[in-house]
Amino acid sequence: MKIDLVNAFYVIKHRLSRILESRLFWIIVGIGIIAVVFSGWDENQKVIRVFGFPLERFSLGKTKHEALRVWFYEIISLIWIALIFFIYSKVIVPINQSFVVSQSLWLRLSPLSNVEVAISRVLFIVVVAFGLGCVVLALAILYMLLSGSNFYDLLIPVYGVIGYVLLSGGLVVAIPPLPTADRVSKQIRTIAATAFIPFLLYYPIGYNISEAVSGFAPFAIPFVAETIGFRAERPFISAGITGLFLLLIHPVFALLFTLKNKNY
Amino acid sequence: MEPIPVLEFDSVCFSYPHEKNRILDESSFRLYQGERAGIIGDNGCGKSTILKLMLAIYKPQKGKINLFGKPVSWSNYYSNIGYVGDPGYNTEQLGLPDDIKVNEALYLMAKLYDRCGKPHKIFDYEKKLGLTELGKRNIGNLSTGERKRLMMCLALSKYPSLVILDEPIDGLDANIKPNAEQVIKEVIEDQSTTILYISHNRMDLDEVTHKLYRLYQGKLSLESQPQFEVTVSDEQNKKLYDRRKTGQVQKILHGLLDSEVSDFQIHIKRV
Repeated sequence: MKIDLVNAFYVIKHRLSRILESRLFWIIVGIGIIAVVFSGWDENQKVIRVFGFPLERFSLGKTKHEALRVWFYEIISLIWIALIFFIYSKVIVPINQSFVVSQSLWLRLSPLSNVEVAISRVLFIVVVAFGLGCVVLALAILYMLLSGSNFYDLLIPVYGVIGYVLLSGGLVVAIPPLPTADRVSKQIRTIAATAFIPFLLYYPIGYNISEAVSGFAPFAIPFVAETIGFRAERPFISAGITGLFLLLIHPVFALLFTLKNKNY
Repeated sequence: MEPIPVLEFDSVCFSYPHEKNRILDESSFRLYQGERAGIIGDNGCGKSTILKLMLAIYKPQKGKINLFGKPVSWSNYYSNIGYVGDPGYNTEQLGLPDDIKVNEALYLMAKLYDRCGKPHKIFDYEKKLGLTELGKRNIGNLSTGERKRLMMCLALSKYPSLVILDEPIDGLDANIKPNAEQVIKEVIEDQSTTILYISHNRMDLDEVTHKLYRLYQGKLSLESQPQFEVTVSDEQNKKLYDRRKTGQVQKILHGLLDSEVSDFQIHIKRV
């Protein structure tokens, strides 16, 4: 049986190009860089300054590292909100649409195998998740270099963005729609995957249940790390692992089907 | 030992959900390697539904459908099928993607065939079908005719063993039609290629097919037709070909035949 990862990469190459060609993506990155470059700690007045303006709400009663951490998380949470729209239109909708007959028939009539096509969908989500994670990581490194913040304090939003994309993508890929499902039902799935499920998991699971359980609740949501006392690494990493597990279901099922039907 | 049919419909019954009318009612047919069959029927009689069934987009309520000797399934991939038809974008339509540029799609397919060590004529057909100038356009922004040309290039350039032509010339511009016909002719001339040609136009089918099925009220029946064999030279064949396009030959033969005979097939044999 033929499984060629390079073939799977060729299938997603144009989708990755669309992301890099997207103005919205570069606007979001640009805003992030500007926000990071023009933020800093005023040692004299013990306050965060952005474009020279003091941000007392983020500084009062906090040490330098605490204040810098809270402000960086605030920047990334705002970027994360913008990324949700970007991820919805450039990642989740195309992946969801890739199951539609008119979008997938041409690949079914190509020399690819169904396993390779399934892997290509997973690869796309994983590449985007870690790509966006790298963007946030680069912003964290830049922030650390410019403001003297503690690097490990800045990693939570990196886990958050990666976990969010993996969980959203995993939800769409794990339960593919029927090829004949109508457009409305497909749109509802994508909105649920990007906007509701990764958020809603926080409220019933992350917010109210005991710490022991909520520590591993798979949610990925901006602005929440401060609320739960910056203990969001575990839920964000847990969201990422859950997403990866969901993503793996698709190629595994394709592989089992191929083996069962001896389609090789 | 009986050869395995390339395509087999065995007592297939199908109707769309929430619709009483059966699109196919106990329909059967077999297509063996190298055969050229046509399916004719009025608009909306269910000709394209046959394609959706054979590609497992729909499941028949009764009967079985085999492709290359195996039951069809949505999860099966068929690199040896070339399909040219309606490149629509609605959910259930067969067709092309809309989020990729023409040159990206052609390059991707060429790359995949190269990597698999399979021959292809993608770049040859790209030029013949006038796709080079469309290269940087997104497929989603192409007209129906332009999309059909791309579909033809992708489907026929890979030396497919089964070609499905669903009104392939309809919607093409007059200036590109001869080239498109030439490309189809090249594929048809390969004697090992199996062809299923679907059309509502009898003349298109006569050009290509050995046998003809008529789809009427859910029943698929083999047409019994008067057959004529005409031996002609290359020069005469060219003239005849042009005249058949305009239906002149049919009109002449109608005059010679009993007026009740409305359908017939002409086999042209070259000297």
